[in-house]
Amino acid sequence: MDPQDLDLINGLLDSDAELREKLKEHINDFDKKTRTMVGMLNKVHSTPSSEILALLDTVRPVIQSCQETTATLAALVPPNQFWRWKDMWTNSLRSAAFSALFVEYLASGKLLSLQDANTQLGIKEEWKDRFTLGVEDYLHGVITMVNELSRLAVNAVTLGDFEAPIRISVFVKDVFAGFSMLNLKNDILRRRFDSLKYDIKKIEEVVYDVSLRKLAPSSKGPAKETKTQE
Amino acid sequence: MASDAAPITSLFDAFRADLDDHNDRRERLIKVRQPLLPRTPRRTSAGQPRCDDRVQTRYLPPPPHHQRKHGRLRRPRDPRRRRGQQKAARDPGPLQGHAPELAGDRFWHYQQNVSPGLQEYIEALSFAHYLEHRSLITYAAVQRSLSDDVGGPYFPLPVSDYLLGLSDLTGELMRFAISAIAKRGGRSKASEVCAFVRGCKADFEIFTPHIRDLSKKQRVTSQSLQKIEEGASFCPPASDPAPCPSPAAACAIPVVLIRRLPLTAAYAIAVRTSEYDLPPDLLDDLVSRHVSGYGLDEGDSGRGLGAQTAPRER
Repeated sequence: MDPQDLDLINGLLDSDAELREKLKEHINDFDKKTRTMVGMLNKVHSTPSSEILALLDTVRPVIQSCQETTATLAALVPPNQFWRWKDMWTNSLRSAAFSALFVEYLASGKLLSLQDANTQLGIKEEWKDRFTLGVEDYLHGVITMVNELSRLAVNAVTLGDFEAPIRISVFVKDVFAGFSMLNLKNDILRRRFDSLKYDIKKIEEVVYDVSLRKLAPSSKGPAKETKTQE
Repeated sequence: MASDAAPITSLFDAFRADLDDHNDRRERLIKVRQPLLPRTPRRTSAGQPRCDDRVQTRYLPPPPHHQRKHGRLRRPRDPRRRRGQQKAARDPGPLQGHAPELAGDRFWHYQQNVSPGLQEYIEALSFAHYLEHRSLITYAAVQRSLSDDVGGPYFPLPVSDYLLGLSDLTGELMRFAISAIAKRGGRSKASEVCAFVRGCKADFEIFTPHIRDLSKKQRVTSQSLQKIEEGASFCPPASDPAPCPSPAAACAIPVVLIRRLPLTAAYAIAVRTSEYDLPPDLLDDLVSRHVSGYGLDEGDSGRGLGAQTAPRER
């Protein structure tokens, strides 16, 4: 091999290694933050509905703090190389998306759009080729949220909130209808999509139990009941 | 609540378009590799001028144990395909045509899908380069070949694909060297290739920690190198040119050895040849005569050689 070429390649590899180290450092930080958020959101399952808003207020600052991390990462990644380094932060970013989505649902009962999720995490449109929350990661976040909601349906009833399962049921069915529109390849997203069906089943069972015992508001009760018996 | 349904489905509408676009592009790019391979024999059989006379050596099929060991990694290739590969090397058509698909951040998105084809291309390109210049193609030259007319690269060439493609070259050179042995003057060529591959192996070694799969390919390179070394030891030892013994005596023993033993015994042949003080020309003839019968089944080749070396039989 030409010695000059040898040096060139060595240089390229060294700079890649250096960048990887730097990214790793910040991703560790990001990872810590997302774990904190997920841990805090876990408390939802044991928090009465009246105190949930207070809990969300403690999570929001952590989401805010993720904005610094995303900004640093976006600054580190060279132009057009988003997909090259993406694997390093995929998991953290998906948890962050989940946290933002879950907080939004608990606060307003709505699905946070992809764009708003990007905004909440401080990700700017012009970073598109360096750092962004893509469709796939966003959808992973949505699925994680639905997984969590199926637990919440059960736990809300335990805590005496009989309306929550019905709200969750309507919401999850809408999300499921959305997912059904996608042509998924046989990848992780498709496999996780399958888990939605089990979540729906679990939520429907809770709704059924609640409706059968007339614990939920009567206007929605019978409708749900007939649905689940189909 | 029910009014939320509309926004959710409209959100997912956009995702569907996005995912479909991604999946379609991905499949198109995976297929890029395919036109590069099957079209190579077709192009050569269309009677196009031959690329390089020096590779017109007869292809020596690897011994069966070689095929078994490398069946998964390397299929034995016919020379037509090899010549075609060089043609392909000069014409990165399939990759070029997809340049817009790989523009901007898309290249790294689909790098994993493109990389096998890219490596195949680099292997072919570097082989053609070696035949012309007897040297390893530089990173910059490969990148240049993947650029448009004004020198703008279609996409940044990943160092990993460059090195992995070159690593495949050593396998190709192994076949080149082994088949060259059969030709007059080919044994010195084989030892030249041997030295070259040895250099490659040493150079790549330092990169193994940085690049995934390179160590796997280094193992294959070592095996190739070993085969070339064994093949190259056909070269007669440097002894003073003695008068040629009678043809009958000269032919008898080496042919028996060459015919029956796999290439791994080439070393032994080289050693024994010295006992008979064969001049290199005669040895060349012997080897090439033997090799021309190698592809036939064992019995046939035996008889064929027997007829040529009649004194041995009696």
